[in-house]
Amino acid sequence: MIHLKKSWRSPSRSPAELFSHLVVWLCASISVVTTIGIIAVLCKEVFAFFSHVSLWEFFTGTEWTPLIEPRKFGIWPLISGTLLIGLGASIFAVPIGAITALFLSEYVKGTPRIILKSVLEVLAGIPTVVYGFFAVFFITPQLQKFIPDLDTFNALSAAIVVAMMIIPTISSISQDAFEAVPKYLREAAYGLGARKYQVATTVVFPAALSGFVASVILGFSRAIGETMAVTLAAGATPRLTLNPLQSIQTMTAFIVQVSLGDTPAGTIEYQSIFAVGLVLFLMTLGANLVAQWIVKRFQEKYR
Amino acid sequence: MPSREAMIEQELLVTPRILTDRLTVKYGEKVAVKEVSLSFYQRKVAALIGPSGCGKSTYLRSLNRMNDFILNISIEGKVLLDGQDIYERKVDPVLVRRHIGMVFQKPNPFPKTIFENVAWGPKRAKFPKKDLPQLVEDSLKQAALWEEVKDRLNTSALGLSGGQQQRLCIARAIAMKPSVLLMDEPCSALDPIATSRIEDLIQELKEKFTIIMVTHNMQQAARVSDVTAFFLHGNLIEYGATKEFFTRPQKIETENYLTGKFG
Amino acid sequence: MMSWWDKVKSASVKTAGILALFISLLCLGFLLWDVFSKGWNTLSWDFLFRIPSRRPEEAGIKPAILGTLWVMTMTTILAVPAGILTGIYLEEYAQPNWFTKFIRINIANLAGVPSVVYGMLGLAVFVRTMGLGRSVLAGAMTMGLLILPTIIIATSEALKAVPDSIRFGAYGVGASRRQVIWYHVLPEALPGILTGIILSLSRAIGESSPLILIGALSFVTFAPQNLLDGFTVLAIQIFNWAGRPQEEFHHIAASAIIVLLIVTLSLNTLAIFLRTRMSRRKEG
Repeated sequence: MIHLKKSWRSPSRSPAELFSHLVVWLCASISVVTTIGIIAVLCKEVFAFFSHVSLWEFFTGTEWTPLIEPRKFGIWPLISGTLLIGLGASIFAVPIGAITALFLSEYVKGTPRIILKSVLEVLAGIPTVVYGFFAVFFITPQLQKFIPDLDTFNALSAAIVVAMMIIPTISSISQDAFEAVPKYLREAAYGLGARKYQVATTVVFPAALSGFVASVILGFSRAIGETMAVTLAAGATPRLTLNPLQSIQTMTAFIVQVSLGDTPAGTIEYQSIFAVGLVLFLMTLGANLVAQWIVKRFQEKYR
Repeated sequence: MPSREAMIEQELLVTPRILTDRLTVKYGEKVAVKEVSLSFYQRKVAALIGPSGCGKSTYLRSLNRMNDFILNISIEGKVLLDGQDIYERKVDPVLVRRHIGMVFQKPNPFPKTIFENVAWGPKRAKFPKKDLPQLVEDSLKQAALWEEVKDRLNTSALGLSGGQQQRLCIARAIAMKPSVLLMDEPCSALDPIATSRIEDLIQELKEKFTIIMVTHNMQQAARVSDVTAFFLHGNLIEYGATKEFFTRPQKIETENYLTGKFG
Repeated sequence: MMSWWDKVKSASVKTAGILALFISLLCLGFLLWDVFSKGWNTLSWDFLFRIPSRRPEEAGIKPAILGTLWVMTMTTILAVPAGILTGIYLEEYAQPNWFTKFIRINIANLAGVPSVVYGMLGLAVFVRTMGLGRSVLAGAMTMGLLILPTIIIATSEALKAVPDSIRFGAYGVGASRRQVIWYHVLPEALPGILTGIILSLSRAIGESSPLILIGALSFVTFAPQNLLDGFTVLAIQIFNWAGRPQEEFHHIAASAIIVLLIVTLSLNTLAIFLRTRMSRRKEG
């Protein structure tokens, strides 16, 4: 009886239980602190940055020369370089990713499907610095055979390797969305005498459209945050252009360029990378929030 | 002398529209349907009943080759639609499904508008675009849904009630002008009122189509069908006119099932 | 029979699918072929155990390998327990309220923050404010934060996949929450969690931009001796050699890439293997 009584002392309020609860709660708070940290760090340096540079110049200027005199701090050349890579990569990656996903989910079954999906994931597992190497020493020389006036460092090669990187993102998320289209919709279509390609293009794809759109946004967000490949391959020439054959500079590449030199804290160069970082952070955050919102709406539709 | 049409009509009443000859379906090694021979006639509703797992749904899905999508399935025997074996090598299963419509257990409209749902099948089969509105209207009228939805054809089909959705699925199936209509427990997901509307509808539709329905509801089989087949463990136990079947079953298994002694 | 137009459309959809898949595989093939053809000849055991040099034929990647090992070990020690425990908090402890919802959204967004931004956080907080300098510890803490969201999400998904019947069964015999999680839920979720950890470590090994931000040196001739030493990693060494004008350096960069690819791709294969076995077990 005594033994039993002892165990009646509510085990869920024992010190050990409360301690475990506290520990897991503390761990969960790390992620919140990280977010606060990122925002605080960025904002602190950005305030200092804007005490030297006017907001007006930053957001309307079309020249970015923070490291050489005369210093100019117009963000647009970096944004255009970043978008050139993001959009360029999407042009290659979206059709390939979408068609691959539809093909794998509707035409390939069983073990071959698992194998092919895994092989595609290998593309995602290759470090980005390797893609940069591949762009500079393989893609650019090959392209120069066809396009003689292609710069040694250019947006096109960088966009191609970034596309290779985001194809698995797009195809994997889209494939999940296509496979999540309920079986009963496919059966309805086949029951009406539809052919496989008709089911794939007019039932499965439209039903999973939002999942596909989300995958594209996430892929785009990865593309604009990509760093090492574009630093190696796209060049270091901030230039307001949409010509992919030229050397440009992305926001991420600028940040790396400054970090490679020894820039003491408190200098305007040091602060400028945080200003650029904040713009990049806000762009990817916006893209990710939109993608999450779309995915959530999609999930609710079939429940 | 009766007219030519009347003779054809007469002919169809005595010749089966669709029949199976010793049809056997196996999932891998497991036999789901064993040597079932059955005939279904024009203007008759046939009900397939039996406990769950008895093979009645598998049998139904073999009739329009919906089982083709299952891996490791093997089908022996013959299924003749108007004398043509639908499992013959040269037969395109897609065309089979255009002649044999199907309504599923759970209403499964596409996430599109009401109009697009009905028009979807005909569009895939290259039905002339200009005649589509008329076809949609006719099909919805036949499915007794037209009055309820004629003002909102361009709204999402997912906004309809369960019973309306199921009638939409029936309209969608008959828009293909099939000769046979398969129904796989079409009322199991519906409330009693919606169920009775579907049952009334089936009575009207049987004038035009050969209807074969799977149901686990014996009262429904008794109310709706003209002939009833009883399945057990993949075997066809008994097949006969519904009245006879429910009042004077021939087999002891049937009687046990009907009286609930089944164990 | 199928009309010819139907046949054309059907065939073209199928062809497009095969073509799209083929393009991706072709790119992968070209990449591997390019790297191996450039770097195979200069790859040797010696190369692995030599220190970097201004003369490419004498250069090696010993400090880079040891630096990678140091940073990755510390990253694992810091990030894995915190990630798993956060996942446990979210799935097993947290009440479904606005705060939990906020944490979830927050983690999903952290997973999408570009790695270079984590580098800036590390630079400002760990290197400057905490005064850790350009050390292994600062690098590992930065990398830890970078992979934390991935580990949390993987843990969370794996815990979600554990059926509630297992939890109820254990609670039913009077186990406390901690016992239920430790003895019943975690073992069940372990393969899924492990897959997530391996994938995120593989990503971290190839990641270099946050470490460049915190100032990991690219020309290091020594291996770190303790947590506060400077360091370099393989990916940065590759970046450094690839950026030099002499072609000989590009070849040894390719050799280093082969080493890096062998490590990351083996980890990826291991993760895929684990995941495939898991899904087989669920189906069977």
